[in-house]
Amino acid sequence: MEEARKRDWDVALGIVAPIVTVVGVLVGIWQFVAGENHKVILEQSLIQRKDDLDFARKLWIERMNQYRSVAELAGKIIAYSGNTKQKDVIQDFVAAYWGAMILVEDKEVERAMISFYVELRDHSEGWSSDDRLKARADGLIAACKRSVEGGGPKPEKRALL
Amino acid sequence: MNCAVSLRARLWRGLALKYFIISFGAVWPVLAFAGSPAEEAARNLSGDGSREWTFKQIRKLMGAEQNCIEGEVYKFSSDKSLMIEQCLNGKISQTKHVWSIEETGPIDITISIDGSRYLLLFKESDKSYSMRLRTLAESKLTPTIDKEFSRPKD
Repeated sequence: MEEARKRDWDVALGIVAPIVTVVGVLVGIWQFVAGENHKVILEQSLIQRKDDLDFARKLWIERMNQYRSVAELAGKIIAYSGNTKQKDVIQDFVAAYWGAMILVEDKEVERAMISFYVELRDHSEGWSSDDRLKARADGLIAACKRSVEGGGPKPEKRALL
Repeated sequence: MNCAVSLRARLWRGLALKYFIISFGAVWPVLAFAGSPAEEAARNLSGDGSREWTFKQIRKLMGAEQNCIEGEVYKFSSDKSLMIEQCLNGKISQTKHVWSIEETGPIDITISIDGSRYLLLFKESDKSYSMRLRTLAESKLTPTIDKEFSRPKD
């Protein structure tokens, strides 16, 4: 009786043990694959974030360069008042106004650019003075400074993969 | 001896006080009535009573009725009222408005006409004064709109 029971147990264990082993192996494989997938997703999101930050950093550096260039142009326009060189510098400013500045400027700098641009036109038509132009240049450069101090452009939040 | 020194000191004090009063009396009115840029702009606009600024000269037709072809004249008064005379559909129409002026920046004077705000600019030439009501562009792609008025020199 005892022998028969023992044999039954042996048979049962002989059946269950491989099943448990196979299930264990399958769970292990599943865990490995899930872990790998998670790692890939994490790496991709980190690469995405790094790309966003690199892009934001490049844009910020470009913004700094453009602001510096516009500040120099505004300074030269003031310095060359009454000089024939002023016309060329104004042309350079207009090129920056309709060109690279559009890529990098924020709303406040855009408004200051418009004010300076309109003041230049007023100055040429006799509606403005050198002092008013200086005040506008000061306002423009202060707006650029505030924009830079406000930090670089923040990367847009994107959904993780 | 002490009495003479005391008398001299009192005389000096009196003299200093007199000079202070005279110089204060001379400087104070200048400082008090110099006026801010906004007040100066308001004076340019309306004078002491009222001034007419022409956007377009009103051209009237001959006839019994007040017929017209075109024109728009703004009459600014120092009591902050504004009368706009316009030629609309061949008839002259008059509308009453209110205006106010404020400084909105280091060099910006803003005029508000019935709540509509414009930058205010003046220019003087040999024969006339000119004035601009400006709506500054909000972005580079929208235009800055100037409405230009003039009035002859007195």
